[in-house]
Amino acid sequence: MTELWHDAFLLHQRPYGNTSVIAEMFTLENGRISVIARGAKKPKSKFFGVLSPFSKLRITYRGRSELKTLTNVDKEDIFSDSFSKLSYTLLYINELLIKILPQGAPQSELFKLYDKFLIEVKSSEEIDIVLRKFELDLLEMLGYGINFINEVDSGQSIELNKSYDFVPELGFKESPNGLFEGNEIISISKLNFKDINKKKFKSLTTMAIGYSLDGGDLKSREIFKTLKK
Amino acid sequence: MSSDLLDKLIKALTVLPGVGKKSAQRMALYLLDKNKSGAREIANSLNDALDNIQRCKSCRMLTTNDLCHVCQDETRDSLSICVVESPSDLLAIESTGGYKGKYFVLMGRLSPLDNLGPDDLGIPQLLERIDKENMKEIILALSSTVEGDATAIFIKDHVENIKVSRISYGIPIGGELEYVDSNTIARSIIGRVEINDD
Repeated sequence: MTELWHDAFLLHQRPYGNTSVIAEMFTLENGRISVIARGAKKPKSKFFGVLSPFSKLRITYRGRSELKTLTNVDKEDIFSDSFSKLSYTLLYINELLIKILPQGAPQSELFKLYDKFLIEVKSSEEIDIVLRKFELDLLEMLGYGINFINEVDSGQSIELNKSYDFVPELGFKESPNGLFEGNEIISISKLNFKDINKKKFKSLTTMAIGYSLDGGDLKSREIFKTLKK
Repeated sequence: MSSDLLDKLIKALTVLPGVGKKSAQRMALYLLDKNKSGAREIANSLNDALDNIQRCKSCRMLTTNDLCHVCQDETRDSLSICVVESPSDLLAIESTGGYKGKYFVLMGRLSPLDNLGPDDLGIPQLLERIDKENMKEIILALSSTVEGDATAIFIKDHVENIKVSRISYGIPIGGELEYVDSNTIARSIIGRVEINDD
């Protein structure tokens, strides 16, 4: 039987034995899968140097158990723009995906979103905005989308001049000293991020993601918040 | 033939990387049957090492003293520090004889998914040492992965008024371009060096 080629991204890899690695792959057709790449650390291996995250890969694998065996890898694009501030963002996103994506469930829309995000974030001046947008889309696709239209208690539309607090499992709740202004919420819903306070926007997605992870925390946040700059 | 002690030994040997039950069994039988003195030596060396080897208080390398021989060596350049991920990286650089400064061993690299943060890598200790010893250059000899990049940038972001460099990536000596992967070629073009006359 000929093996099928799959589009895939490497999310994470860990060493296995002396020369092999176990890699978490995000594939277009089959979602997140674990594969073992035998001998991948040997310089002469066909996997050497190609198994890198954030580049689109074409892979073949086989096996019926949960852990598949990687048989071929081909790298499509070259991502050599490392050694920049971007590495924090990318590590964060991959940690988030690994924690939020169930194993083996196809997520082809999300795969396309991630692909688009990587292209945008590599060329964007405003990494923050691209990241926030990806977070919102990700939440939406996984069923944790934020309701930017209605107030939670009354069901009435969000109003420009009122202020609201964000309650992760519910949505925006009217509150006299709320963190978010009505006009900000409406701007976000219209994907108009220009005048949004970056810190507030970040705290919004942080709360929503925290809820979707069931209170589980992301280590990358903890690491990178100690940054001075 | 099977006994509790033998089983225990076989199981103990499987903690070694790359050693499964079958190899462990072969090793155990060889040691007990064919090379008892060798087995005794392994047992004694392991015990000695476990009792006496610790991390160097200054650079975190493995050593029998409070300070390792590199940190004790006063003839070495004490103004530059080379940051590596593991003791084996340090040994690899030492074996070239091309570097005469001091070291710091992180014992890993920043990796959120492996639950490794700055404190686990002793980065606060590194920063304190750089400050206290008035160092002038940090050479980051870290792996060429996203985690390695993040670690490098993290360290760079936490120091001021000091030269921070990173080892270069490129074509292996004796290697032909045709067989080098495209990422490495891209990086080696970015990191190209001028040919000097002398």
